[in-house]
Amino acid sequence: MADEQQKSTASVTDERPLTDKELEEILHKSEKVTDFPEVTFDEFTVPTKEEWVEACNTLLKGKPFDKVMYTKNYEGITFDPIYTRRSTDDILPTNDYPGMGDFLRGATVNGYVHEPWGIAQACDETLPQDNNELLKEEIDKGSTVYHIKLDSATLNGIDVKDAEKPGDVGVNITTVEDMNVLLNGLKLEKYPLMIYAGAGAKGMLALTAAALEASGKSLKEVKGVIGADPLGELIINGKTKTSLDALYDEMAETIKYTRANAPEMRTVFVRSDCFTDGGADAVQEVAYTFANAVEYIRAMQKRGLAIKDIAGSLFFAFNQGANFFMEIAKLRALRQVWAAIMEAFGAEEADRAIKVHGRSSRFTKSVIDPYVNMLRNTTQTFSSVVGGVTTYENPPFDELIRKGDVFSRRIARNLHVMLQEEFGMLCPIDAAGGSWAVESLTKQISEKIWAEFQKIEEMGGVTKALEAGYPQKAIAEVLAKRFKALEMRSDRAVGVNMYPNMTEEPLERREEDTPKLKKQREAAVAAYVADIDTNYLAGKLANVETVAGAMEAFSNGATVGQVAAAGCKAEPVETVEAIAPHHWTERYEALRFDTEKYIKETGKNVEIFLANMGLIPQHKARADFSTSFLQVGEFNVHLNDGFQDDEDKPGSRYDKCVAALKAGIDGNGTPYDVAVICSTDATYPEDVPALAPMLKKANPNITLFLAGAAPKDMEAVYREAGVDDFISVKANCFEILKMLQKKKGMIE
Amino acid sequence: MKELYLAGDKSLLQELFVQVKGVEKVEAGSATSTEGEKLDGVKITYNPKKQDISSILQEYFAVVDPFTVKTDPAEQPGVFYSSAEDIMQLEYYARFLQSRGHEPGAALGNLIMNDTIIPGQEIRPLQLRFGRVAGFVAD
Repeated sequence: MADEQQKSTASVTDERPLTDKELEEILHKSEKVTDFPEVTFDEFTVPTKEEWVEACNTLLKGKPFDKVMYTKNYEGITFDPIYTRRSTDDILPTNDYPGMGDFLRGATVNGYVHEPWGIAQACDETLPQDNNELLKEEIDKGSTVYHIKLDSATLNGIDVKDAEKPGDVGVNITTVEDMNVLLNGLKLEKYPLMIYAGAGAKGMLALTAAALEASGKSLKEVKGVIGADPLGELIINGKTKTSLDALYDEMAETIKYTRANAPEMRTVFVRSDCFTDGGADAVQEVAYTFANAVEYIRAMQKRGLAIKDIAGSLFFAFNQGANFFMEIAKLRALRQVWAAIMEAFGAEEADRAIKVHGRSSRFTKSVIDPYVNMLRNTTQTFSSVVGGVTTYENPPFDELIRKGDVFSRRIARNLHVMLQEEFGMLCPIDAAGGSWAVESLTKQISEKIWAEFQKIEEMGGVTKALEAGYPQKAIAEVLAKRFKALEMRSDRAVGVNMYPNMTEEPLERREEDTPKLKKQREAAVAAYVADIDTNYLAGKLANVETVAGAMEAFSNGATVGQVAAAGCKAEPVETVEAIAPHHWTERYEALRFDTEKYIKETGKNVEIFLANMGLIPQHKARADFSTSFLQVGEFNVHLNDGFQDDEDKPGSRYDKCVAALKAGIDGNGTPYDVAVICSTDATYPEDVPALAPMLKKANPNITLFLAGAAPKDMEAVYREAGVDDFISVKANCFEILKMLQKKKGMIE
Repeated sequence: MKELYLAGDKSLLQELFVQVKGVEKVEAGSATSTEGEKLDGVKITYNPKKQDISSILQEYFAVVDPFTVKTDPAEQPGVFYSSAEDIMQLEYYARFLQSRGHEPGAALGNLIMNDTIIPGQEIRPLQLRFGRVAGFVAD
């Protein structure tokens, strides 16, 4: 980091690079002499807040301003309807510059002007050869980081022969030969390397170094991150394979090794996935991730490492959520909070800047209507870039269903390319800086992150907090709120709980032929280890405590399983309550799959009759709402143009409606399961008491809904008439659909 | 693996597509759509991890003019797909074809190619059939 700062300021003077302080002074002086034109905006009179509220109230037509115009989010921050200079003047960062101070405005002085954000599209093909081709293809097509995703077996130090499902989420690596194949022909001197290595990075670091050495290269030439996150793995799995102390020893060893041998390689990859996949809000995500990082710093300091070396080894990964402005504010705020934390540790100013890898959050994606994920990814990537990430991964839209293909990968990658090349996002530095709304949100979220981080500190650090179950409980509460908001449709997942696509055909899962791939991998490993001198190797395996020792072992034929087993200390493992991964629409998706399964097995579905009263304008709004509401469960909604009275027969609309219900879904009396009376509030007092009993009499088994929320004084009257429940914006969509499924026999 | 069915000169298409990256197999034969339309040409089996529809179509339209009317309707340029997820990409490609300078207003099956028709300009409709495959018989 310090080097980068130096480099970025070196061009200012020919004699020596400027320090950050000198640069800051020059910028301040320059600002004083800059003659900006005075803009008074006196062409019109600025309305007062009261006048503006009054104008809003006129448009709101009686709806309560305080309820409609303010939005509270999961972070406990309320979005104002309008942000003005008056309310934010004091907090505007008029004296701050990017790349210095509290780093609020950016981790580097020049933003993306000289160094665009790294396009780090993860490559996850099972076979090393296939993944090597994919890595090259990605770079050819616009990526700028070799981002290798390992499978679960490799992450856990398990050889392919013992792997349950090699290639499940990434590439399978067992030997140095596999790594050779994987890295063959990559321009590692030009593009950074990114590998998340699981609980410990020693094995992957040594394997990479050994493979590079075998091909006449050196890890010294490589920059990037091959990093571990032991606490992240503990949170995901609920336990570690060895003690945290042993994992911290390993972390210290990787830092010592890279500081001496590969100064541009970072080995601590503090990731927020373990929290965000569980449903954490932005405050929890940052506060707990920083708590993990602080635990690492303390553990490294205990092992004698200097803060400068530790700072130079840290790389963070955060997930971008769906709340556009909040996510921009989050990225700005976290730089500020991290700088404060590092200052407290005594880090020099240049070492207080944070390196952030961003990723569109998995939690916010859906399996149903997956093309909407492209839109979700677009806003998440855009907010990341505006917020200022170092590298970014925009996953393919089908990531929850299968590994990406040429099409989905291209769409994902090209979003970066468009933002860089067409949208000019490389030019502005701290693009959201000065925005009254974003500055205000930044301040609020920064304070909340700090407060939540302090809570963890008061508990004695994150390990103790995890042992007490505090983060788990807090995140579970937010998850429950998120699910509830989706149930009530106050949170809208397009294509899932709103605007379902009834003609959707699911994407093919394209399951990999795992047994075949495993055999292929086992054969490759067997061929490699066939001529290994096992006695000589045993000697090397006795000395894998260090990175250099592990390198020696790999170079002499050791497998990842052997090195992991040889280096694993028989110490008590750490256990905590795990945070299970979720995605927000999973409950609706399970519900819809239940319907699909039932249709497939029986050919039947929940059949809905719309008791539309009057002409189309009278019932259309509520008929459309009810249709969309019930189609979320993939139920059959039968449409009609409404039932009207004959000229000389008042009330005949009811008879026609009942006759249509009796005719059934096919005209031959096959009964409906549900009827929904759709009309206006004004007509309900007359229609419902008359029609509801007739519908119930015609089909006693039917579930009868009224479209719209009944006024309090009428609800009992309507229920008395036979209405079972109400379909409105206040209704719990998920519960109603579940009830209908249960009644139909789709679920127990 | 995925499949795509393309109408046209079988020998030419076979010769072309065996050389295309990611294409695993090219079979000459006749395909039938769910609408009962017949297509004489080739069945392309390709690896979606290495190739996508738009690149295959790019090769196809390098040798087949989608604006030409053939005397034998079965040989008329056409694309049959095998799964619903192909529709979006085919639609996208159809729009791309048009954007390369072909006349506006052309129609591709049930897809609207362009809703901007310039008054007085000649409209040459795409002579391209489009459908979901129901069966294939290899020669």
